[in-house]
Amino acid sequence: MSVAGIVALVAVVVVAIVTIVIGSLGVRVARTTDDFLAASRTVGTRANAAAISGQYLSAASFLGIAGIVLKDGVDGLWYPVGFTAGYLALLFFVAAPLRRSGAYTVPDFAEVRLDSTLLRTVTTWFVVLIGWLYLLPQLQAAGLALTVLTTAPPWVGVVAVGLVVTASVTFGGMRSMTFVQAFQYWLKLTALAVPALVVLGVFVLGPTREGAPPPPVFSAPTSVDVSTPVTLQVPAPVEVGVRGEVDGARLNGQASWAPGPHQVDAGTTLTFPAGAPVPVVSDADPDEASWSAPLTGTGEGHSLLATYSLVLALLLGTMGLPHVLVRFYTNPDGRAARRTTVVVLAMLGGFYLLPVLLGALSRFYVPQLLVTGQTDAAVLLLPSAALPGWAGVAVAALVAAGAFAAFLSTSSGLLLSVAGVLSTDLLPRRLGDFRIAAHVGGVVPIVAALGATRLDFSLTVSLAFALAASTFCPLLVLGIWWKGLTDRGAVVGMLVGGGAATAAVGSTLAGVAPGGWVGVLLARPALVTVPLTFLVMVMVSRSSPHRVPSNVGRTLLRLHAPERLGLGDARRGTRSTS
Amino acid sequence: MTAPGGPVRVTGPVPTAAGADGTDGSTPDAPDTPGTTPGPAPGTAESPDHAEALRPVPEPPAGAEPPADGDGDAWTDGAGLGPDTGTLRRSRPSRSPRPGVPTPPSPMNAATGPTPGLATEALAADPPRRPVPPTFPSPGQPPPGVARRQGRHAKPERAGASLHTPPSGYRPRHAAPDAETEQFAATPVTGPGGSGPMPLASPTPAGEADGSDTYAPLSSPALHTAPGLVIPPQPDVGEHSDRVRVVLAERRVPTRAVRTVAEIEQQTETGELLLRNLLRAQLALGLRLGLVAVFVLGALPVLFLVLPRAGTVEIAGVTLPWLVLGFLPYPFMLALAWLYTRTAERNELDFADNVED
Repeated sequence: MSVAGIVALVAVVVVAIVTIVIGSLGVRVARTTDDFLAASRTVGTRANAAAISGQYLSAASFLGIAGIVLKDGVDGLWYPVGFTAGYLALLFFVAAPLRRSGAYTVPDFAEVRLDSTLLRTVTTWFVVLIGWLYLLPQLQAAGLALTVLTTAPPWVGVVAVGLVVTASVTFGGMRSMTFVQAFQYWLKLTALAVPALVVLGVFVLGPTREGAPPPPVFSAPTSVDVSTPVTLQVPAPVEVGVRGEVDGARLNGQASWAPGPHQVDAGTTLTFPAGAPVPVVSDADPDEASWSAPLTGTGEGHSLLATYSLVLALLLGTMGLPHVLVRFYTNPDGRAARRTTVVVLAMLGGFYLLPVLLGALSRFYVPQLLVTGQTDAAVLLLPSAALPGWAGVAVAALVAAGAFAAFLSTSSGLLLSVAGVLSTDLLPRRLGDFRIAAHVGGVVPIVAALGATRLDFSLTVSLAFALAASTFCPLLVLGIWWKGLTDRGAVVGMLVGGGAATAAVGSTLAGVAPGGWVGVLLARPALVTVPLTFLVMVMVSRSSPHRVPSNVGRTLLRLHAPERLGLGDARRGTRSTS
Repeated sequence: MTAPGGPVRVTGPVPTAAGADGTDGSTPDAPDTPGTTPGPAPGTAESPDHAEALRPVPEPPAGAEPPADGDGDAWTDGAGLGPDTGTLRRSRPSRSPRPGVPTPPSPMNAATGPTPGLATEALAADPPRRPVPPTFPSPGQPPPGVARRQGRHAKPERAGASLHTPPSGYRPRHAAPDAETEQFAATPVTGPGGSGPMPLASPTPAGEADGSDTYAPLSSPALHTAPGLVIPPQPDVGEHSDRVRVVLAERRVPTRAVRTVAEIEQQTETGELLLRNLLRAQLALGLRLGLVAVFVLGALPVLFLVLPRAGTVEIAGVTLPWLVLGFLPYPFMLALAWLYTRTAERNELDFADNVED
């Protein structure tokens, strides 16, 4: 293990310890179930916004966006835009009413609004499913990060982060988690801002690149270990030293690659001379022109479709993410929930400038990632590649700490909400059971992360978004704004839409999806499944008008009327004062 | 809850207390409760007192007031004590000190009500507001305890008290400040008569600052204006009057709203309309701004597709798509969010105002 690896590891351990310490300090304050689950709803706007942002900025945001920008260029920019726009939709249609519903979780909301046990059970299972699907890339990212930093096998990172998160959730509960999350937002921001500024400075002040060939090119002789089988696109003839299996033939020596696709098997080492153009994996933009132009790469000619479907999933999926929704219950009232969301938008917007910048810079400094396809590691490797000596080591350690903060915060938020619904709905309701539920909720994704093959984090995460958009988004939006929604409509709609989305996601994860536009829609199903869910919910509800709850007017009143009229739930502690 | 007025937070406790006490006629603990829960009853009751207190200082026992037996006493006491109007505010607390005397809580008094006439009027005037009046058993019949008590303090006035129908003299007093006050006075109805007498109780308790702890914090100049009772600060009564009025003020807004709220909750036509308007306004706002966002952001891919040239334009070394997608969406979305929050809050404010009027 290199010195840099050790330093980074120390930084990571420090983050983990601080997380646990802050988490356990909060336990003293947490006395009741309410304390545990919703922090007694006394968290301030800015703290809550930082906590929401901290929880939301996952591995996909911290590592994945830079990776996707490195790979796809402009098209990757839709991810951060979509991630942020999700909060706009949340603000417009859900935030305040959801808070006023006084429910803790989506199943609670479903019950408040439609009073159906069956519906509650269905939503509970979707919460668990989405939570686990979202946990998967977090844990895998932890494995990747640890591998990159220390060359440890991936399972070490998966298990380590999984255990830290489970412990933190088990002993903390949300009040302490709020502080943990807020702390981690600022940590993550720092961990990207510092390297972004430093590397940008190096780039601008460093040797001029006038006349240099456009990236990606190897600036120095580079050898690349390919750990998973890849297909490389070679843009221009290149001399390459090969040890391993290429295009189906074993080779040990120099080879000359003609432009076109080349198959490289796992375990092969490629050596490129300085100045050689970088061959890139098949799903990346091969040259500068296509990289910096929109609507290239993804989707094989269906990039418009892919882009819209992706953005729709991100836009509407955010409001269905269990760990995000749970955060809104800690606002003192609906008005605070709105203001918190605005602050969140600002915080996210500020944050997302950084990974984009880092992704673009990494094209100059770590182009070899395009050969291996592990572009998600770009942020982690960029500092030491751009900065020589101890400066690089220090900055890299900071980035590593931030990355682990990302895994920890998102994972603990997800696990918290998963364990929350598990303990309240699937297990008898006692505090002790929450701990058991946390263990159950933590073990399943750890096992899954060890077994599943790794896709780009941005892709996996967007699958979770698509599933959330196809189930909870229609439930929440119709439940909040349409009197006619019935429990039957909600159940059928969620099963149909959620089922379709799950099938699409599953086929993509299993790698059995066909090509063409069908494949695009299977990888990004939201464009079909979200309207489908809305449609089914409305149609079925229309056909069962007798099932509209009799107190619907009163419920809607509670969701929309300002708290100061005294119509909300009695537990609300603070009232807006002005 | 009991009556339409039930939801009002303050009133809650009163009815029960009134009923219970009314029956047995004596509640030993009444004294300690003054500042806290029973608040509503005493508070309301007070209003009249103050109104009276404030102006008529000079005309104290003069008697205009039938229920006044107590009042009379109080007044005299107060006069004697000078600044210590505190007594007035609280019939209850004052009572407590008297050891031997059974002391029914103020509401009870009201119930037994030396002033049936008032009670009825009050009810008529504002039924929904106050569940209390309806609850009491028999306004006309003062329980033994009460009678005794009153007798003690206000022997002279007793006659007046027994009359129970001093509408002419009595009413105006409470109503004096403005129309609103009348309503308030009405609430205490239960108490007007009763309240009057109660304060009489004892100067001592007044000093004890019965309710002061509870009410004092509330007394801020701003609040005073709120209630119907706007009373110019009076030299001697100053602080005390403050407290009392504040209580009223606080109560009043919610009380008003409650009626409409009840309407809405019961889904009457008005309520439905109000709610539907709010829903529509908020949804329309969300959709409008949402469409703006969707069209602006959603047009970008198409724009890039139709105008590939746009992708090559450079501004300050950054090509247009990078600028448009990498930076501009965030301030744009933030502006929309801010606009939404502002407008949505205003919609809610309008709704609340409608409800409260």
